[in-house]
Amino acid sequence: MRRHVYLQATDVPRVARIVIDRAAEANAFTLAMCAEFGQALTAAEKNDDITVIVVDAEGPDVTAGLDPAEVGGYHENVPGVPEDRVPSLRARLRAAGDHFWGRDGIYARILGCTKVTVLGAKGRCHDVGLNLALFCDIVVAAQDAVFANPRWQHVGVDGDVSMLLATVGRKRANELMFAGAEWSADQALAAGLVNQVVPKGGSTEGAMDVARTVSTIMRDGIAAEKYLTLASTEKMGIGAGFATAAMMTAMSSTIHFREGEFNFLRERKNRGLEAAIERAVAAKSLR
Amino acid sequence: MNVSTEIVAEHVVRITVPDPGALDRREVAAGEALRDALLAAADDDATKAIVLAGLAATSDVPAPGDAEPGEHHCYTGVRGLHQVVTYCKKVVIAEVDGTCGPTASALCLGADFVLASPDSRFASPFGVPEANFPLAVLTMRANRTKAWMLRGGFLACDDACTAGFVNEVVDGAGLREATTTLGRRVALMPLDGLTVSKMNIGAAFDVVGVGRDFDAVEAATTGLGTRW
Repeated sequence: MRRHVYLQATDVPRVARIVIDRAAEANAFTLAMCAEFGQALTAAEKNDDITVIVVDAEGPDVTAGLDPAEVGGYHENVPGVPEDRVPSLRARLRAAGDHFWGRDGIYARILGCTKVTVLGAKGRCHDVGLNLALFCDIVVAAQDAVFANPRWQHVGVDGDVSMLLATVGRKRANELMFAGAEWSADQALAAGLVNQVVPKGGSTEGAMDVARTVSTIMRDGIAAEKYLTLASTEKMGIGAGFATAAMMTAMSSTIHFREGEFNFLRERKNRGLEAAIERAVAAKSLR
Repeated sequence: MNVSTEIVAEHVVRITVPDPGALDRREVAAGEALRDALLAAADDDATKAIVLAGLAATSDVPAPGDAEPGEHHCYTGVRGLHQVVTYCKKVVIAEVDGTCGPTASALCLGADFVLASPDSRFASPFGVPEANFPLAVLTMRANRTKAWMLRGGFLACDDACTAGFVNEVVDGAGLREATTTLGRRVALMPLDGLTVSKMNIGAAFDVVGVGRDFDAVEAATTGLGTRW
């Protein structure tokens, strides 16, 4: 089966790329892609000749977010947990931890990566894309990059928020969490979410330029800095935030929708995926 | 003090403080009235967002007066005004049109959003003991927080926006509409989701010491600190 996330060599010494390549689906992230991302990181971390990883995407967007066809089904078929008609809390916790927030989850892997990670952001950086911007070390954004998590308006703020609060400040974070804000590259730069804005179409080149500079630092220096950074994020409580994140993600999969509240999973079941996505977009508009 | 509560949109409640100076004077009745109004709105399942208005002083900002006996019960502690705002189960939107005294600034610090008119300004919240240092650092970064705490004085609206203390500067005539619209946008989130979100953020607060800072104020106020 074709991989949608893979490690690729570059012509710059010590720099490799992790490519997100599902452009026909706006790079919507599946669970398989989370696993593939982890495998690509493992391969890069095992290679002493790589010191910098550029995270990059094919197509116009980094990602439109989690694959809407899979949303709501993460806790099915969790290895070692019996299937129940109503999935158990431990199945939900395992799913949230294994795929996203646990030590083998995509975000913990990026945060704990021993190489320098540089994200080339462009187009939609939604949901997973926003988290890639938060957990990669350096972000170079094209002028057309947009940062948001539209899913939060439908189910609440799951996952880790400690890194978001620490990065952009509490009140700015609330704009993304509660007000459905979509930040342009310039807004993200002002808030501290990205390091640099480059012209549209220049994110890959911009990220590679940064990577080229970083790659000139001696390997032991990079390794030491990364371990120190990880120690600092632990002291800031980001690790504790991840532990809470799995719990909150599991809890958000059990929320009860009241009359008049938009329920994506029910819409998808009753009207099909496309109609549910349309209604999800409409539900974000004030009438 | 008669705090007014009105429903301004579906799931959006507006609470107006008639005399913010009474909060700076740490009057028990004023603190209790506002705290109880906030708790009632927060406990109501029909409410998702609370607009907190009337925070700006109508005259000169009074210097904090001698506190009334027992004031710490309604201003400090887990059921005190400042923690009720900071850990509110619903989203709190502060609406500011004028000059905020120290208590109003501390309440803005605890609120989730602050929308303010261009001429608004904010006295240093560190004039009141409940101004939460870790929360201020999380909001506007350590260097700005330290400078404000040590220098005191007022922060102009534009500077407060740049610092991340204010979300948006809105012309005074459009301020009420802007806070109501923001409340309506917040209310799009399902109630359960909103509750989980606020719990999630509260947990992040505690990791960086927001709760411990509040506890320290309570201990100092009630004398527990000296007994230990």
